[in-house]
Amino acid sequence: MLIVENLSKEYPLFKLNNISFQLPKGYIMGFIGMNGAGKTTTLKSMLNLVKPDSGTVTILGKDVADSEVEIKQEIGFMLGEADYYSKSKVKKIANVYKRFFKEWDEKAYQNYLTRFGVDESKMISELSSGMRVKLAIAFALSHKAKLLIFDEPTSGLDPIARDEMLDLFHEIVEDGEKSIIFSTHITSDLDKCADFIIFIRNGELIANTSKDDLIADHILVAGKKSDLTDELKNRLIGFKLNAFGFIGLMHKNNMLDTEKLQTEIPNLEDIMIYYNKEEQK
Amino acid sequence: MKNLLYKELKLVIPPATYLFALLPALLLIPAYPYFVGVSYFFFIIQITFATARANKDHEFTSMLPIPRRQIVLAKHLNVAFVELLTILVAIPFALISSLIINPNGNIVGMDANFAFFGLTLIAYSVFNLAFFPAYFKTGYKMGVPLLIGIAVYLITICFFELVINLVPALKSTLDGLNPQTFIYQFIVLVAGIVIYVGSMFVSYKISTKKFEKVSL
Repeated sequence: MLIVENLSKEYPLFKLNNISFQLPKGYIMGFIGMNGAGKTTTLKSMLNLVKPDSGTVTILGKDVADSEVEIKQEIGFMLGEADYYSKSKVKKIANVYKRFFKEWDEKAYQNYLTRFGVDESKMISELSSGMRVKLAIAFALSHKAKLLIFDEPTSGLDPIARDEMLDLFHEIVEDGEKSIIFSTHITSDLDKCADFIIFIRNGELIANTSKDDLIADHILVAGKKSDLTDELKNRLIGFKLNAFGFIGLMHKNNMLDTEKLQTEIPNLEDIMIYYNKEEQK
Repeated sequence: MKNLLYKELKLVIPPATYLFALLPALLLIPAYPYFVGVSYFFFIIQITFATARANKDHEFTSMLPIPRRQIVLAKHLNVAFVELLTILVAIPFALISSLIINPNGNIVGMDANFAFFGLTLIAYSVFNLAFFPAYFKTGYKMGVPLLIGIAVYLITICFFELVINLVPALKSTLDGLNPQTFIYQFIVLVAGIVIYVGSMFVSYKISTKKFEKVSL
């Protein structure tokens, strides 16, 4: 469905370095990383909105650089809330937008508006931030797209709306024909619905694996300050000191059988946080 | 192309455009330099492009299933619409002015004849060639491109007025409303149309090349 190979883009103060990953049909991939890690740059490079210095992106078997228009008919994307033409009514913008899509599904669009509670007769400036996100998603979902690319689709949404959005993502991929890749820094979203995770930090790919494997490969360890030897520090990806001692993250295969530390299964947030500590080390 | 123009008309060109487009009515003022009457288009372009930037127009257009060069095309269609609307509105006022208000000819500058509209199109072409490639270097910075465009446009119309006034052969054929000289004036009009279409094509090509490198 989606193959990204060696995608690189250099800016004066930032470099997206050789990003490669694949997303098969019928799955949801979560894209995590801190603010400024390169998530949006990666997504924009995939869509040819940012010209990558090198690398290729293949969507539905076609190279994006060669078949951009054809591919954009078959994918849906949102790169932030619908905050364009703020003094125009939603209906007016939709009337322009839909003309460009061969497979526009008006019924589906109206259903999404009803489901999300977006009032078409309102101006964009009258919609809350969350509603604008929902509108952008409704636009992206209404032309029978096979691959959906969303940048922070859950930001600005209240917990209930977020939960409903994640349920919708599940519904979309249910038939096994469509896939979703979405970036977020709200890792609990991914705990709920992602099959695969790609994790980037400072333009570098840190992890590209299934969510279950990513979690299974890591372990949280805790102990007293006296346990935190230099040798242990080297084996830890990152650690934090607290009043009782320390908590750190390590690869499971770096764990010694003789270790007498408390252990816990990490969640995605722990993994993100401690990898960030590694960078600071 | 039809959809792009529809988008520009519905979402981008602000309603004030149509009010500004009536400014060639100033041609009705007796003894008024006609070239000034057709020069208000750059107010419209300034308002349209500034509003489009504030409304994240390029961001919206880049969501559509169109190649990037069509973002450039959309803006060329937009400006062509504004310029040609200015000329269309100016024509009836030029006729009233020439036939009723200044029947003995305009005492300040050219008369509004075929040649005048031909030269106006050439001056618009100069504006477009200066403005668009400079604007599409970034796709959002428009102050300097607009200033360059307006400067070369004003120089061009001043040059036309001067040459026609100083060269007797041109004055006798291209100025005035003598039907016997209409054939020469008509040639200038046709040349103006050809140059205008050509300039849009060249500007589109250069602008596309520049805009391809821009990150959206």
